[in-house]
Amino acid sequence: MAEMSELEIQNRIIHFISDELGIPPDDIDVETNLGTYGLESVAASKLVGVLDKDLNLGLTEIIVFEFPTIASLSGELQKLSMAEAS
Amino acid sequence: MFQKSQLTRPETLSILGELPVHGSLALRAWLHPDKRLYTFLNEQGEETDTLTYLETWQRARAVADALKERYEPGERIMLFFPQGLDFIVSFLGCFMAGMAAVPINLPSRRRIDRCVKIIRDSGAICAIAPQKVIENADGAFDGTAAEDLEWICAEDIGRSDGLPETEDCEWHSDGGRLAFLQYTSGSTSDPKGVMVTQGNLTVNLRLMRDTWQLTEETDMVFWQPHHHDMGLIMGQLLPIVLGNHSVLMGPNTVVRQPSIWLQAISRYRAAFAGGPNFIYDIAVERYSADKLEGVDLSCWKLAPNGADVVRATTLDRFAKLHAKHGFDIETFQPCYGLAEATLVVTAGPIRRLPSRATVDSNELKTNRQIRSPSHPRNALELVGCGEPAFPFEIAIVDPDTHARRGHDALGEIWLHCDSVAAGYWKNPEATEATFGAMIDGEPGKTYLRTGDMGFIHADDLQLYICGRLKDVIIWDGRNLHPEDIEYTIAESTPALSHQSAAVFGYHDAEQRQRIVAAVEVDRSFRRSTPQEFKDMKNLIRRCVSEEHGVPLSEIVFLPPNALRKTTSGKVQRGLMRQLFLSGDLELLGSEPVAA
Repeated sequence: MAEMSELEIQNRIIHFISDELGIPPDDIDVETNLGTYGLESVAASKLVGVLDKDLNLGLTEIIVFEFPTIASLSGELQKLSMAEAS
Repeated sequence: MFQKSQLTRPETLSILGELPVHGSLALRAWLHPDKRLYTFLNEQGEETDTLTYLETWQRARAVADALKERYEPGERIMLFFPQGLDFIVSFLGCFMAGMAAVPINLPSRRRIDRCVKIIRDSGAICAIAPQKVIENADGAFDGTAAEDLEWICAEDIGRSDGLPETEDCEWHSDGGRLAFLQYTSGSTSDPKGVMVTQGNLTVNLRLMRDTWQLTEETDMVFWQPHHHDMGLIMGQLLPIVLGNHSVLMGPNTVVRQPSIWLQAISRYRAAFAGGPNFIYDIAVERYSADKLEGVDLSCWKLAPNGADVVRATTLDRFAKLHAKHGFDIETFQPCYGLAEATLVVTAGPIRRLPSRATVDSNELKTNRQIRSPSHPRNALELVGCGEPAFPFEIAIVDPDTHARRGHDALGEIWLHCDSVAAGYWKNPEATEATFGAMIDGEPGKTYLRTGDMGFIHADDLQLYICGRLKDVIIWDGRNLHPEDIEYTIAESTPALSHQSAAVFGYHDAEQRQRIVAAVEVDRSFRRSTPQEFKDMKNLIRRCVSEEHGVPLSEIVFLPPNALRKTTSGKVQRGLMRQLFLSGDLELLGSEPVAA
């Protein structure tokens, strides 16, 4: 499994939202609730799938609802992947 | 049954082609009571519920008995169910009781407004739902026009121990009887319930069976929700007529892990499975060689692709990637349909390469004619969505003059068939305008106006779809009305309450649907900082996604009078789209945006 830093995870999520939803990256804040961008269940499931392809943590889309901003989500994912690696 | 000890195969097919769908269920529950009809899979792809033909009939019978105890035939009954097999028995129970079902999405905070409007528009007297949904909805309708709705708890209804008799087939019943109201059309503020009759359903189910040559051996896998016409009619009603086994799962399962869908097709040896175009894209994007190890799709003979634009690149990529699992591109069945015509309108022929046409986009736009591209730059590749399924008659008509147009000419798609619904519930004006159209010089025969533009190609007699006449945006198979989103934007903050907005969709370079809002703002915004514009964008995005469940891709702010309107004051969304895409809009508060 590839190690990813929190910033890398953040950038991955921003890139996904921009690509998936067509929102210019400049419009995306890491502290804004992802629901604001229209990340609904279909796209949230896809995001979790994309992230888990790299992180391999057996994630479900519930994590997006528990950690609903890019900052909190990437922080949690980094923590989880550290714990998994150790 | 029918005064006979058995039925021959041609007799069975003839009868099933005429009976109302709950009558077909009674017949099949008599013919093969213990055969499995439905299996439901959970999010891990494991079986959690099953129903045989007889169990389905007996549970529906119990629902019908519970309804008949309380209400008169003709009443409308709301159905609120999560994905699973409890929905279909209630739905069929309404049919057996002679009442009209109204299947819609579960009420949630975001959808409560729409939900209340539909309850009121339909005049539903009662709702059937599982205990959990009733608890969650408790209080949500207080103070609304829907607070008098009576609730029946699904768990309180058992299973009848009776066996089907000939009269349960409802042979010679009235085909004009209202079966259900399909609320997929109309904006939030003005919901329109399509009146689908028992006769409509019988005709559409029969034409699917016959066009695709489906039999009791064509087992299937479906995942579309039951409040969507494809999930309901193709996934849950069609199996009853066919006598096959249908494996169902929730949309979330498949969207999160498309491999579960493909594994199910392989495991249950399904021959018939499909969905809107996006599901094939997701399957490609999320392809996992590990998860698909040992998956054998050679059983898969028909993959309908409908309810959204069908893209040639999607078909090619999916077929190429899954060829090693035995998938054949001839499996694809691009098709076209709409709720106003019950479901399927065009499909087939089967077992051949999907039809394609490369046309000149300029000729199409300016002269509404189909020509070979004059320059590669103008080449537009389209996928044929099938031939008219018998007994549909399709006319291509000039939407302004109502003159009939020939092959290879673009026009609005008009339909005539017994499968065309009876109209919009309690809305004679909209019914007359949409269902009562007549072709210039051909009086006496009415057609359904689909609002879709297309042409019949002389080369292959396929119907090709070229967009909407109106401004409706299609998002993952769902119709969105720009005026609803524009209203939400104006309501999002007092600062915008007197401003106008144009919302329109376009397809990006990878042909993905994008939704843009162009918001006109007055002088008071001139001095707004970039941060203030950004905050406003966030606010607009949040309101639109909460209200409509879709992302706004781009939001642009325009100076006063930059929004183009007709002389009667209507926003010209098509023109705004064109100006946006060509970069000819003067924008405030943000860098110019290139599409």
